[in-house]
Amino acid sequence: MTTGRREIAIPTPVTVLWENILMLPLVGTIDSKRGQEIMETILTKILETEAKTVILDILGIAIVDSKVASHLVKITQACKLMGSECVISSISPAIAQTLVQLGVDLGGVSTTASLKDALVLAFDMTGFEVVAKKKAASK
Amino acid sequence: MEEKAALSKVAMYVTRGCLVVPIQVELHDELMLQIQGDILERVNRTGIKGVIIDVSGVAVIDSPLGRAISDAARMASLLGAKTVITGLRPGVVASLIDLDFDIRGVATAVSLEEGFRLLAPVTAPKEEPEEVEEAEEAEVEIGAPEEEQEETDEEQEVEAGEEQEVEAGEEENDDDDADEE
Repeated sequence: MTTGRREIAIPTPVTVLWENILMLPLVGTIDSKRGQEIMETILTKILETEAKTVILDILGIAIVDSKVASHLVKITQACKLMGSECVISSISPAIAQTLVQLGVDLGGVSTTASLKDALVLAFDMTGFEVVAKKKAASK
Repeated sequence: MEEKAALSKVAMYVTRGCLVVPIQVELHDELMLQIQGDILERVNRTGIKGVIIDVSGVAVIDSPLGRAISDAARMASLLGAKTVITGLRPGVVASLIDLDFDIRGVATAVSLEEGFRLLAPVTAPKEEPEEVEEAEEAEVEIGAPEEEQEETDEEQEVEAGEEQEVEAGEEENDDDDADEE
């Protein structure tokens, strides 16, 4: 089964979500090769943009076991060495359960249940504040 | 210590209240130890509050070298100087992470500019608030009612935009009073 798998280059779309905030949606699974790719891409992007916060959105990752978690931790540590904090978003209840049951230590990385919360957290970390427009509020 | 720390090839300079150590040569363990000694000696001598070790010119950092750099940072912290390592290249970071480099307790920044920003709380603005506080205290303690009244009369005459200058003048006057007392 695994031998039949064709190697297709999976894109790593690191996007600038806001000033100083990067976002990377992760899909599929993360093995060591993919982990390296992600790390390289993200570090280069941090160097380029001097971003202070990186949101790793793991909504598209089906299974987070200890290996995937360790890759995630490595990426967050690497980002930290580049002066950037990571937030891991879209942690589902199932993922939270497995992580705790496996005794995975995420090393103090901030995690959120949704991308929305991650964005709020990222805004907070970079010193932005989202305020509703007066018109919108009155409607 | 009899043997004075031989000046390493790496120049260091003080900018914006930080000791900047740009490393633009290929590092090896011995040189890093020398730099380490130089940094500590300099920090000890000048009592500087911030150190930036810029390694943007270093293409390869192996495990012992990484430890030597982070050790230098920790040692300088022990001497009371907050230390930031800046300019780590993506390739260097990836290899350090692969080597299970312990990143705890080491502040890092992507560029020199970010490094200055990180150190800003311990270097630049620290002096200003202190001065303001001292000035305020001086005003309260000394009181000098006569002079203040005179100055407020002056203030009323002066345009609003120039108030700051007058306030600065007040502080100077108060300092003079303190000296006289």
